[in-house]
Amino acid sequence: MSEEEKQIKGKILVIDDHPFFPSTLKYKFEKHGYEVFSAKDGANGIIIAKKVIPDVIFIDYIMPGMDGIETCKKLKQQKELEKTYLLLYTSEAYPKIVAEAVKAGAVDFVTKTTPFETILKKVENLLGNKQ
Amino acid sequence: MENKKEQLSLNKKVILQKLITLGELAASISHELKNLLISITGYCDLIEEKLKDGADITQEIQNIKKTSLMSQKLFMEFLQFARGKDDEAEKKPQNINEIVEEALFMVKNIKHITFEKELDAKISPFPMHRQKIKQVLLNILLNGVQAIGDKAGKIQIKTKLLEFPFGFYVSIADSGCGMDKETLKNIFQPFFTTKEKGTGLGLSVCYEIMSEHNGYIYVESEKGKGTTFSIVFLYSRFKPHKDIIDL
Repeated sequence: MSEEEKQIKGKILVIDDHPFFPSTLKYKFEKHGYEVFSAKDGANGIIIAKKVIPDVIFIDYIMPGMDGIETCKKLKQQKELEKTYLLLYTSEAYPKIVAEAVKAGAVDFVTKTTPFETILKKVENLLGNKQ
Repeated sequence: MENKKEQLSLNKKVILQKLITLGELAASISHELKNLLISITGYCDLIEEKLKDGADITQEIQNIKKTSLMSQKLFMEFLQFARGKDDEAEKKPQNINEIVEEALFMVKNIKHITFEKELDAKISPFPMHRQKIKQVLLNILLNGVQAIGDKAGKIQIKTKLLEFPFGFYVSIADSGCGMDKETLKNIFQPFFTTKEKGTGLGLSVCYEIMSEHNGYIYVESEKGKGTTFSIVFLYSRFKPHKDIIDL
């Protein structure tokens, strides 16, 4: 294992068809020592996830083709990803959506306006990477 | 005289239905605009952070510009439809593909729905009331959006030239919940609705607008399998059988 790989705190995958949230999370998480990947839809997300085995996957709730809930359910079925934490996000966290996300296998839910510090804390708590 | 009365009545119904369509569009567009604004604010936050780090911000500026232009165009299309004259006295030659593009632009950003289009460039301009036909298209598109609901789905819109009888059609197929035979039978009847808050005016107004253009509207649907609406315009008076439409 290279020195660089040793320093990586965790691998994160962001699945979203819109570039805003993935690019923001990529920049901010990379600054905190995480490796960040992105996929433009659910189907590609599953392929990338099986390849890189991320520790955490952020999935947009609303996506064309396979939506966030469906993607979440399919990711949960992958044996290689049994230790991966799934987090869904959308622009607003309606209780119905949060309940649906948890039922589909998500461990938590964030919104696109959730401060990054809160999101970072959630990931650190999940991975035990407290600074 | 009788014709004028009928015309007046149709115009009133068109205006009423347009207000309903505007309400439905406003809900979908405001949701989309909110998302675009969240993106712009997010990119600004990222720029602030990148500036502190001395990092390159070219991409974020381009993204802000792109997102702002998209919001502007969405809003302008909406305003244009809202302010458009509903009582156009005369039909004018119009390019149906342009009207389809304008209608599609107002709904295509609904993220969980994939919109596919196939437009036939061979169709020549046809005399029509632009706003009314846009309203027919928006009405059918919004019905498709509602039939799909919150789940991921697809709407395919197609225009095609017909050689015999000489004319063209627009078909809009959604992957929504579909309709049973009883609903299908009554779908164009005024005040018939299956929606909780529906007025039952939308499709009956579409039917009347198409009649006013010597055109036809057809629907095919199966419960659980989606619905296809087709509107047919003919350069000559000849009622086509719905099988001429290659759905």
